Amino acid sequence: MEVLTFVLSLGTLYSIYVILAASMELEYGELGLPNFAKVAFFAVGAFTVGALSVRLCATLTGVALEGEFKLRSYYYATLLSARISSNPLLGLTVFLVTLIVAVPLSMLLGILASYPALRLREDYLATTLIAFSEILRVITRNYEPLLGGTFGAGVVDFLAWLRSPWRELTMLVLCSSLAAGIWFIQYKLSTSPFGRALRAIRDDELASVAYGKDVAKIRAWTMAIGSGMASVAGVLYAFYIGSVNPDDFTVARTFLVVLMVTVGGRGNPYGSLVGAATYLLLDRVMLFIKHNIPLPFDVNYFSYIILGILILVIIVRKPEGLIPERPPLTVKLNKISESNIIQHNTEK
Amino acid sequence: MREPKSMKLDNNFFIAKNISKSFGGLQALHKVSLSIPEASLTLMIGPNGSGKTTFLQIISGILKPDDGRLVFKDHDITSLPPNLRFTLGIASTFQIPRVFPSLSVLENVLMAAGDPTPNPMRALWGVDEHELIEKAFNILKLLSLDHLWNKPASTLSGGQMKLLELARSLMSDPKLLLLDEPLAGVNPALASRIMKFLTELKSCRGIAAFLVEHRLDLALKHVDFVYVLHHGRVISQGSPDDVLEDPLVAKAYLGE
Ligand SMILES: Nc1ncnc2c1ncn2[C@@H]1O[C@H](COP(=O)(O)OP(=O)(O)OP(=O)(O)O)[C@@H](O)[C@H]1O
Ligand SMILES: [Mg+2]
Repeated sequence: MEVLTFVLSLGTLYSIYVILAASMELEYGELGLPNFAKVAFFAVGAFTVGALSVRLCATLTGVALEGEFKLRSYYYATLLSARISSNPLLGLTVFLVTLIVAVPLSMLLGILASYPALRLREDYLATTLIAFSEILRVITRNYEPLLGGTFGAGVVDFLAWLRSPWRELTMLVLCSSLAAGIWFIQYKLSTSPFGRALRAIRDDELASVAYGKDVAKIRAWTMAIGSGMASVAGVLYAFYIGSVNPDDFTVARTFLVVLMVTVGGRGNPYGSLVGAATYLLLDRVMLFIKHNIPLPFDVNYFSYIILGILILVIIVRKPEGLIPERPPLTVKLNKISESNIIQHNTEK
Repeated sequence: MREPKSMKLDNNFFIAKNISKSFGGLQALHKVSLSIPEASLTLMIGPNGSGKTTFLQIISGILKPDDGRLVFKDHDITSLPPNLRFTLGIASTFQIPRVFPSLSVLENVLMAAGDPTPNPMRALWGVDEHELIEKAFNILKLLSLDHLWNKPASTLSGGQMKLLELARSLMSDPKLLLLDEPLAGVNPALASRIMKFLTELKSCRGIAAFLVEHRLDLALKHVDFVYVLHHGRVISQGSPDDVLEDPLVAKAYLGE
C-alpha cells in the first residue's frame, strides 16, 4: 500500500516536472531565451486555483463565505470538498474553470514578458525576469485577501468523490495524460520549421532577421506557449498539494527547471523527459538518505549543495547534457528526397 | 562628378541616393549614389576598408544610414527592418559567414525559405516541405555541398561555410541578390561555376545581383557594370573596360 502511494505520487510529480521542463526546453533550450521567470507562470496556475477553487465552489453550491479569507479558506476547503464527494460534476467544473482561467492569463503575461527580450541582452533579461517573478511572489505574499498571504489558501479536493487509492490513481492518469499531451506538443514544435526558426534565432539572431524571420513575433509565440504550459503544471500542482502558499514559488524552483533542461540536454526534444527524471531520482535518493541514514547535518541543505555540484560537473564535463542536440531534427525526408541523396552519394 | 551612366530615368528597380554613414569619427560612406537595373550583374570593388561591406549592409538593412534614401521597386525602404526587406526580395550574404552552427547544412538552407513566422499551430499537423527540400538539394548540389546535407554547419570548413551562406541566399528566390565576396576562399573551378550560375539567373530569371569582390580575374568578364569605392566615395563607374582604364582606379585599387 505504501509502495503504491509512493509510486502514484512520484508519477504525478514527474508529470508536473515534465510539463515545466518541456516549456523551458522550448524557451531556453531551443529559442535561447533564459526565461528565469518560469516559476511566475507556474505560480499563475497555482494562484488561480488558490484564489478561485474555494470561492467558485462556494458560489456554485450557494455557501456564503464568512470571515477573513486567510483564516477561513482551509476550513471552507474542507467543507466544500465534502460537497464534492457527493457531486463529481462540481469537482470537475472547479478543475476545468481554473484551467480555463489560468492558461490564457498566463499566456498573456508570457507575451508581455517576451517584449523586454527585444531590447535586453541575455544576462540583463534573465535578471529582469527573476525580478518579475519575485515581485509577483512578494505581492501575493503581502496582499492577504487574494491568497491569504503567508497563511496561504486552502484548495478544494476536486477528486473528493473518489476513494483512495482510486483518487490518487485518477490524479496520476490526469496529470500524466496532460503531461504526455504537452510533451508531444513540445516535440512536434521542436521538430518542425517552427523549432528550426527557434534554433536559428538562438544560434544567430542577426542572421535570422537577415533571412526574413520576424524574431519579435516568434518570441511572443514561444513565450505564450511556454507560459500556457507552465500554468497547467501550476494548476495540477496546487490540486496535488491541496493548498497554495506564495512562498512556495521562489526563484529556486525556476533553477530546478533550468537544471532539468540543462542536465537532460538543451535543444534535444527528449531532454525534458530525461532531465525531469534525473532530477526526481536525485531528489528521492536524497529524501531516502534523510529518512534512513543519520547524518550530522540537515540533508535538505545538503541536497542544494549536491544539485549545485551537479550543475557544475555537467557544465564542465558535458555542457550539451545527457542527450545532446543532434541535427538534423527538423527535416523529415520523404521517399523522393531520400532516393535523391542515395543516388548522389553512390555516384561519388 | 560625372553623371552616373546607369542612373537612367526609367530604372526604378533599385536606387541608392546620397548614402552617408560614419562610425564615430570615421566617415565610412560619403554620399554614395548608385542604381541597379533589373536583370543585371553589378560589381563593386575598392581597397580594404573602403566601405563596401558597410554599403551592402545598409542596403540589406543591417546598418542604418545617417543620411540618404533607398528605393526598391518604387518603395522607399530606407526605414524598413531587414526581415521585411528580405520578404520584399532583397537577399544578402555576410562577408564573414554567419551560418547557424547547430543546424544541419540542409536546415540552414531551408531557413531562408518558407514562412517568416512559422505557424506553431500548423507545426502540430505536420508541415509538408518536400518541394522546398528538393529545391534546397538542387542548390546544394550546384555548390557541391549536398553530401554534407545532414552535418551540423559548425563542422564545415571556412570555404564551405562561405558556400552555405551563398546557398541560403539563393534559396529565397530573391529579386535583388547582395553578395559580399562570394568567391573568397572558393576554389577556381567552383568560383567560375558560381559566376556562370549568376549570369544564368540574370538572363533566365531576371535576377539582379550586386556583388562585392576582389577576385577581378573571375568576376570582371561576367559583370555589366562596375562601381569603384575609395574612402567611402564612388571614384569611378562604368563598364568593366572603362573602369580598368580609369587612371584613378589604377592608382587607388590596382596599385599601378
Ligand atoms: N561596426 C563598425 N564600427 C566602427 N567602424 C567600422 C564598423 N564597420 C566598419 N567600420 C569601418 O568602416 C570602414 C569601412 O569598412 P567596410 O567593412 O565597409 O570595408 P570593406 O570595403 O568591406 O573592406 P574589405 O574589402 O576589407 O571587406 C573601415 O574603416 C572600418 O574600420
Ligand atoms: Mg568587406
